[in-house]
Amino acid sequence: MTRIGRRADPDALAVPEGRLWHRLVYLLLVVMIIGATVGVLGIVVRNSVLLGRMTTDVSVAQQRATNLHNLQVSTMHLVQELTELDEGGGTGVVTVRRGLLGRMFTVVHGLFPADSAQAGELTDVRAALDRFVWSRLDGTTSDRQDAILAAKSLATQTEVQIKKIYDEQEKFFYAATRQSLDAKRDSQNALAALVSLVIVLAAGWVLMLRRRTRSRLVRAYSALVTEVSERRTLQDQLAHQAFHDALTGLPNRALYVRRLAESIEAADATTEAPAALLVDLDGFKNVNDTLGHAAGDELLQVVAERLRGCVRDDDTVARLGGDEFAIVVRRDAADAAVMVAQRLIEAVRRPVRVGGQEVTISASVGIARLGDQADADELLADADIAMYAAKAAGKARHEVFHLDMRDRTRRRVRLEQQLARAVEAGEIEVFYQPIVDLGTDRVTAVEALARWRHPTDGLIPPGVFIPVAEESGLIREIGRDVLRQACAAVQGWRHSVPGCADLVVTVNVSVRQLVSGTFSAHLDEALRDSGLPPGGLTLEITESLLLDESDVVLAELARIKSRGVRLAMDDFGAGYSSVASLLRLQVSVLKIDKTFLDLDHRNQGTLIRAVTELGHTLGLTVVAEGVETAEQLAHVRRAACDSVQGFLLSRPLPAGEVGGYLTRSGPQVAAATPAGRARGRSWTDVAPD
Amino acid sequence: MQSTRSWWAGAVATVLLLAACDSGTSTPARQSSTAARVVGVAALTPGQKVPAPVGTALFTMTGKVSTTNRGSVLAFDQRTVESLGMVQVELFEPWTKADMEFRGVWLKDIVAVAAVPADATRLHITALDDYTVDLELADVRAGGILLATRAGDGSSIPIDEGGPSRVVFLDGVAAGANADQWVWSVKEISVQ
Repeated sequence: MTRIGRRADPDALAVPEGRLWHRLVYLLLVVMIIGATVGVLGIVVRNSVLLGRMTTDVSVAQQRATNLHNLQVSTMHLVQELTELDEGGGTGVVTVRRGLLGRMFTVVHGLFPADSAQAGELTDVRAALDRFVWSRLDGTTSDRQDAILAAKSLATQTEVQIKKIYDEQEKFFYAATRQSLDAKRDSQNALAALVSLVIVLAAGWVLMLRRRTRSRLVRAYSALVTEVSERRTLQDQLAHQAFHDALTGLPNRALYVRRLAESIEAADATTEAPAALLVDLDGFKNVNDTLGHAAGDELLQVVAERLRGCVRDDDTVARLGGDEFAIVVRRDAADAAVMVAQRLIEAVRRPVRVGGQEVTISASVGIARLGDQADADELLADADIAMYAAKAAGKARHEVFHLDMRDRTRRRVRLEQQLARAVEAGEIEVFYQPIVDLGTDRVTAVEALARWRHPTDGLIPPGVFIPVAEESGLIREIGRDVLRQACAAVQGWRHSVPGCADLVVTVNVSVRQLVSGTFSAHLDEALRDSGLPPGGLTLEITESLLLDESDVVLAELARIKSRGVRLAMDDFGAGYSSVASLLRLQVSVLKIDKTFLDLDHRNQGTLIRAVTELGHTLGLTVVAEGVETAEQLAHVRRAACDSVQGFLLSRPLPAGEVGGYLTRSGPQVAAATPAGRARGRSWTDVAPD
Repeated sequence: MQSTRSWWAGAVATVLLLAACDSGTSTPARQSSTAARVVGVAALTPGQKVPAPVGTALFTMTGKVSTTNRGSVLAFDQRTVESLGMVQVELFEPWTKADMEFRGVWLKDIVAVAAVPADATRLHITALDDYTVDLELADVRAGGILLATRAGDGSSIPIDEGGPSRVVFLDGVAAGANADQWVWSVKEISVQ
């Protein structure tokens, strides 16, 4: 808005409409110019007409004056002739003079309008002259003298009268001339005024042109401003795009880190340190897979909106990517961060309707308060660690970071890196623990167990690195490797060791492997490359498989079974020990967990017997795991377990030692085996379904 | 800006129009046919002897005249001058400001009869009241200048109407544009 306002300002400069008095002055100026122009032109026009009339009048007056003068001269000539008559002259000259005088009268009379005073006067004078009996001049001497005297008097009087008219005419002439000159001067003044006006207008025009030029400059400037501001808008937009997540409109990781850094810097001055919250949605992937990405996006938008509602105005909610959100709590006073975490966990837990279906997800939150972290990235990393801790602790909860977590995580990260390298370097070895058939006392199967032979730390047990492998996804590579090695090795022993043609290998399979989408291919590859028939391979699974993504897992298990590979339920008795799960997974082998044996110590093997009977009832081969003492072995035998596995018989052996063990196995087992055992099923006599 | 410009154009046009009207009033257009009608056959032609006037001479010619009849002067009475061939004309008389008819003799015929030499340039005309006017011989020979001896009705012209003889110009003759050239009561024509 301010930008638009700024853009409007130059326009206000260009046109004087911004202020009222500007407009009034402009209007006044225009009115003055128009008024002055009209006035001057009025004067010029009036004077032009006046001057024309004056010129005519002057020329007429001049003509009259000239002719009156001639008339007067003629009269004087007559007087002169009459005077000469006194001295005895002839009257012929007088007659001529009278004729010429009459002619002049006619001419002068014609110069005046018939109804004018001068015309009347001239007519009277002419009539007086005509009335005189000029023939008296031809009379006798005495009479002639009187007549001459009378004629002279008449002519003189006429001359005086004409002189009078002449003088009047002269006066009029001079007056008219003066008027004419005045009119001319007025016209000149008016014209001078007109010229001045033109100059003023020209000056005004020039000023206007200048203003126009200036307004052009102003326009160019405003265009520049517009362009700059547009560019700035574009930059803002780009900046927004660069710093915001397109889907939710939330700040992205870059902006989040910047905000977090700002809060950390601001925290130096205050005692209330900021906290970073990392929020990861539990089960989001499931929504994405089952309802589609559109629904997943919709869910993310809803969650983003809910998260925004859980924080204070000056806190920042950001989407770091995928289903990962983060929050900056600027001032973590009175456990504000924990309150925010609790609030948002509740908010996310509320059902969301997306893709026409109601889904429920949860959030795991890691909280890291500013402590020894050097920068925002470290603080965020610590929040990440805490979030993983929350996930590990059962999800839909929050964990506050403490330093132990970081150490654990660092170890774990280091381990992960080393493990990745180890898989590449082939440091994952397969060890084999024999499984002995209690009916024949012979080794009928071996369980393949992954071992990491660390170059410096030696052998690392699977309990340490398998969870790391599962978390990092390395389990796929490891699982593939173990399958290949185990199949190849067992197929080798089947041919090389006498009496071991039907040796079976059992390989542990995790959920991660089963849902990776590549397990079937790896399985086929291992069987094909080794030549081991599918019946020679049993995959060990656990009940926990059923907890996650059961549909996918069940489908994958069905595919495996269709190939003729059998399934074994591992660690039975350690978890839910659900009979239903045994039925659902359609396993062929039941492996009783070590804890059963430990618990059964006081019960004299009655539990083992019960479980074994259950297994047999369900038609399964029952294997007792973790048999470490002779007493346990006795219990197992009494319970009529089909096979047994444990340190009492053999620890897991490296591949190189298995061949030898198999060759000489019989006596040790037999020695530890009491007689009179019930006949059970063996690994090999159970046909695949 | 546009309106101001057209306004100025209007103003300028007005001024020009007024100026045109102003100058136009001083030159009234007058169109009049000035037909000359022969009313008397020329009996006296150049080269012939001009008879001496009977009684009072109407006017005399002096100066560079080859034909004379009274010493070095060529004097005409009315009958003699009218025998040069008389015409009747109608023209605008500037003094009375009216169309008038006159009868008279072309001045160039009079000059021809007087046998004016080639080096003569003008006629110096003197009236009864000693008013004088000069006419260029070239203008006279170009024609249209008449020495009127009678009014349109054939009567003599009295002195108080400019008689007995006066110089008149046909309409449109440049030499007669100035009314002062219209000399009346001609007494003497001196060829110079």
